[in-house]
Amino acid sequence: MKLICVSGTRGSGKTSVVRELVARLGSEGLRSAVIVNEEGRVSYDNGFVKEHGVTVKSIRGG
Amino acid sequence: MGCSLAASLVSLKKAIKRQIDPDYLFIEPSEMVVTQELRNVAAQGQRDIKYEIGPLITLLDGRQFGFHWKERRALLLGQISGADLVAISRADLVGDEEIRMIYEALNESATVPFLLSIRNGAGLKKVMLALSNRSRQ
Repeated sequence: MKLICVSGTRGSGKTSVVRELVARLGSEGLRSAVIVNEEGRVSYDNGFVKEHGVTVKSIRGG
Repeated sequence: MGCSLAASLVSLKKAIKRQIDPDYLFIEPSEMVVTQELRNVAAQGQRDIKYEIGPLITLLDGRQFGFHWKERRALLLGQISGADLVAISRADLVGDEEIRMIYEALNESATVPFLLSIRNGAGLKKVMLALSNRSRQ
């Protein structure tokens, strides 16, 4: 398992980048999980989660 | 990042490793977390479970850089310092003049960010290469 951190201010595109990387890795047969701050949890909709088989966990204040 | 929050993050990381063991675990923190804090938290747990750290990626919002540089410079520098990759995100929406301003502002920190855009694909190969360059565990 590799731990990848994506930082930035609000609106910098963290979720967009993580979603893109998860999708690209998934197309190579690699599985991903995401720990996201509670605010960003809504950006990982059920459709995306199911399509890419990704596990998403949120952490309050994180 | 507070102690209890860091402890929660470490606990969650261990649970994901033991229950799912994905190839990649992404951490997307809130905007106030700086890279050194992340690096410290990322390392906690390595005595208990086996995983690799990095790269730590910092995204700079090119459209808002001027405001952030003026008002929140310490936060930006804290996120840039120690990052393995620093990118100007949503680069397709950022003009040449804004990009030049970012390069000039960061010149003293010896940071040369690259352009990243999901929309036009700029910089994605660089990130994917950084992810794959590290040995698998």
